[in-house]
Amino acid sequence: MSKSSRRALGPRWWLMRRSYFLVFMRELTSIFIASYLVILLLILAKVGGDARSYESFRESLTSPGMLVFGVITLAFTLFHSITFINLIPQGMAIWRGEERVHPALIAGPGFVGLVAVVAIVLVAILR
Amino acid sequence: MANTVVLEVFRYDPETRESRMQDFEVEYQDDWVVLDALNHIKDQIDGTLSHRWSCRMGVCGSCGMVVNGYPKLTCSAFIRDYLPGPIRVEPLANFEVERDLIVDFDMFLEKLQRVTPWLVRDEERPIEDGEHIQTPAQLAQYKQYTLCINCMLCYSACPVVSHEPDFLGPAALALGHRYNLDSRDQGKGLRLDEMLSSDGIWDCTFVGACSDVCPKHVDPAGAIQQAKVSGTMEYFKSFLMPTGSRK
Repeated sequence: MSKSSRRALGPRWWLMRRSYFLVFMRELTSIFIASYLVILLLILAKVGGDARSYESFRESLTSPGMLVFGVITLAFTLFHSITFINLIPQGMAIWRGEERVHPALIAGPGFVGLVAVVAIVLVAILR
Repeated sequence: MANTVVLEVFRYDPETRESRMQDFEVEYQDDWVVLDALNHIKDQIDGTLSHRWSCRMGVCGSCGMVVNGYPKLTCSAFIRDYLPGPIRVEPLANFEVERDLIVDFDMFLEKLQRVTPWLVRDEERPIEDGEHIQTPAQLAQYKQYTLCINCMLCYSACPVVSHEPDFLGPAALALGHRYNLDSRDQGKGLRLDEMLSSDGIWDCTFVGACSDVCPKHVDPAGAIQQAKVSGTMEYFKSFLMPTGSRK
């Protein structure tokens, strides 16, 4: 029997529609978040070392390039957090009798928690 | 003056294995859907055009195609929503094309079998014992997932199916989840063996395109994420209850 032409999505599938693109961006955030975690680990390692080495490393983090990297990472982290929290109700079915609990009641505490954590961190840094 | 629109239709000849796009100028009526235009082409312009359809009211799931890049039931894709055209009509992505707009669903049917999409009982009760009683709340848990019409739009939209052809895919996994949620079923362990396999739920990256295109709002993406939660809990429970946590 003659068969052929399975029509798969091409390598640029993630540019084909908005939802694909947003998912691709969410996956991409992991690179920036992982890179930032490496920097945090390096900071911790430097804290355990000599003061001069730590100061030198801390100084390098204030370079324009690192600031841009920090801003991009912050934007991606917020994007990831917000989209992830928005998706939680889809994966978490909570029932009240025959009615499914409204998605806002599931995502809401996630956003409250996010804001609370950010506030705690900001207070700890800025005080 | 009659309204006309151009349909760019994918043609595939299995004898020569050659494909091309063919333009048809169609006089349409205001209430026509893309399926009407395809039927008009077949009846009046080119009888060799092959496409699949049946109920014409979004129930049978036969007329799924890709319209202007989006998987749609062509019986619910109104021409007026695509004006001024042209309207590009292609077969569903990620399936072998049989001819023109007709695809081969064997890939799905094989995957569907793997999730045991029926009620499994350890022991069948005699008919004299009556039916398995189910409360409305128990029915509500899985009812959404019974609405699938196997139209395969979700497989066409899923980039994971596209890049990992062995992935069980949205509709099959949603159906597996549907039976796992059914209070009458006792086959969860059997089903989870497949659903948690390397071709199963963990391949899903939660793109969500399957749910976006689903004409029945089944939300297969949600079902798969719920199955991930359920599968993870079963995994941890298996340490606490090594003998038969998956009931």
